Amino acid sequence: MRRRLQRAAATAAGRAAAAVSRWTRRGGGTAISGLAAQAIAPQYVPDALNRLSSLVLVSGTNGKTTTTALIVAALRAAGHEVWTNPTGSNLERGIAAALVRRAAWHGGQRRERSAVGVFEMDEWALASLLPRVTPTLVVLLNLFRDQLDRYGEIDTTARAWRKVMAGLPDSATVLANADDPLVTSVAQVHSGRVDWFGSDGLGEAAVLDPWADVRGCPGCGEPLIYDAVTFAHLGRWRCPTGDLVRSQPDVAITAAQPRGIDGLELTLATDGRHSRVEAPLPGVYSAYNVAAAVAAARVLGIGSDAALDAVVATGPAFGRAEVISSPQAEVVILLTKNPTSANQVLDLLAGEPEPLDTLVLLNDGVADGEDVSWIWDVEFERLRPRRLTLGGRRALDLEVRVKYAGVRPSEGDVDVAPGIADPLDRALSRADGRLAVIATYTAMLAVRDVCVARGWTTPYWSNA
Amino acid sequence: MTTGGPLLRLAYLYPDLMNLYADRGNVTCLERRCAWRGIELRVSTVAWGDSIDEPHDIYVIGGGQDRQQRAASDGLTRRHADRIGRDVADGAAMLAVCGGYQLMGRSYRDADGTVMHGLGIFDMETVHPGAEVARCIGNIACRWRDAHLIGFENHGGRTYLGAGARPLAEVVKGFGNNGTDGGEGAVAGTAIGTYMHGSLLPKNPHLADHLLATALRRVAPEYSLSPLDDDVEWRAHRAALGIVGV
Ligand SMILES: [Zn+2]
Repeated sequence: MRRRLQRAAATAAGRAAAAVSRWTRRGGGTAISGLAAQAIAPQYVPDALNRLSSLVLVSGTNGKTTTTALIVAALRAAGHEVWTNPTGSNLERGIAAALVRRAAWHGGQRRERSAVGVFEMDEWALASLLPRVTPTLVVLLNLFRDQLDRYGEIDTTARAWRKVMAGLPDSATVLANADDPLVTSVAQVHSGRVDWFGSDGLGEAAVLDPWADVRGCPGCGEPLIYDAVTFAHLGRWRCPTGDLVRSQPDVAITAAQPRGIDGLELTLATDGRHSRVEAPLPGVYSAYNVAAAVAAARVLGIGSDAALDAVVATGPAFGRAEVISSPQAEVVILLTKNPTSANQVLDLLAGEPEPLDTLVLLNDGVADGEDVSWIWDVEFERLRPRRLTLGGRRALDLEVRVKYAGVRPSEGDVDVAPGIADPLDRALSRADGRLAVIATYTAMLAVRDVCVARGWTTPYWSNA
Repeated sequence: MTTGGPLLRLAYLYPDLMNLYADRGNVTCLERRCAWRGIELRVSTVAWGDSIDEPHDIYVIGGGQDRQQRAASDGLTRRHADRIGRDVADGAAMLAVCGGYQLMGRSYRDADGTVMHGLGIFDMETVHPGAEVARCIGNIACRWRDAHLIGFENHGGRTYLGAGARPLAEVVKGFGNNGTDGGEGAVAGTAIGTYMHGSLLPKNPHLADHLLATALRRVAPEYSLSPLDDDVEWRAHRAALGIVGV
């Protein structure tokens, strides 16, 4: 009884905090309400998650938000009530906030028991939460170097994941990226069912890019052999000593044809059937997110046709190739978090038929990574913009990077303006048709805020 | 490319193991600064199993995760110690960063207690106080000669210099070698080691040119570096100093 009261009080406190936060325009209230709820009931999140009819947790460095959105779409299309954290607020307090928003005033146990929870989780938040919940499905997307100043090293993350995998009950299914050797080394620790998604016949080059994060076998340390690389360290890999073996994907990407910023044409092979999909999600990296979502739907008992239909109908998540119309131009916001995602975005732009007006925004907040040296692993040498504007708190670091990369816009000089609104305005004033905005996490939120303030779009939490 | 200028041979050690913080930006920086001046910079990347057959004028090595660092220690001491030691003693420039810096000392005891041997180019020892002790992470600013160096550090190990090495620079903001004695990095002859990782040289063009000048003294003593337009670099340098309040 005491616990139930505590829970109701936590929910109430969280809702009040969210309301104040929105009212004072401090943000979506996504984290603050979770913090308030957790302060009153520390077991708030695991308790609530364990009452859901099934629980899906999605983690990995890149693609969490999109994959979560796709799984949610597939479940909702199949008639399930789904609870999720669609704002990308993926620490435990972000999940607490999502639960606060959903929970009824008296704890809402009846509704919880019929709902499916699908939550994206930060890599370290997953390691901390997993021992306290009993998930139905854990989706492990990939591990890339990201915000090292906060987390240390990806080997450290993989070690933490392996530790929690060892304690995961057999009732849980793990769905993992067969193309990522580090993720494979984690998933194989699970003693229950493991399903795989990955590529089959995709990619050609067998040499890793110099910035790729994983080069040695996570088991024995010997250099891995790649029969095909899709991007970064993902592909069809082999360990020369054979102590770690790549699994055959249950859902395999057999073809992926990027259609520039607008989307991707891909073919998936599942249970001997091939399906062609036109996804409104750009870049080859999106193919992995689609494959993961279809494989997750398969584990959850949703037919692949229904899952694919849902994918086709689901556009990009906020800030992930999201298109916002301004009076001057269409603004396409491309989130970059690390060398891998930034190089993927540059690939995407290189696939456009004409050079695009481009704005690059580099911030150094905690959520961006305070260390900006990673831009030297981003191949700006591939950038061929029409006009180029640089901004963000570390705009001058970008200017040096672009100078050493020898980037030459096809029109005008490189324009540099620290901050967010100022470079956006300058870029828009020169833009023609479309403006590609490459932005780190807090820069992406800030540029969206500017667009919201001008009435060009709605706050990201309004469609949560 | 025939440039008419002098030829410098740069050995980039273990880019496959030691590029944790985009350390290859340092090599990119040296390449461009040579190209702008008509100096031919020939970069050989040295992988773990490779041998270094000919002398080099500049050695560059970056940082790696602990496991890669163990492999690098093994490769350096078993395969490459003689060549690197001989060239550096003969006036070749060296820039060793973070994990690579630690391996140019006498030894490094990592968080698990494993002791890795280094090349002993710097008279120094590095000890990791254990995974539970906070790492030295953040922007770092130092005094170097009559100027500043600006960078970012992220290391668990604490480095202590012996009598045979002196610090590269004096910490103004940040931790440096060990967070206590105010020293950052090490100098021994023509070799420089530092915890300032990643893209150190692009925002510190004076240090980049110092390395090139050092290497050129060995191959073309009469050649002097022509000045470049470093306005962009210095603005970024000053802005980064401003961010740490220097
Ligand atoms: Zn192996």
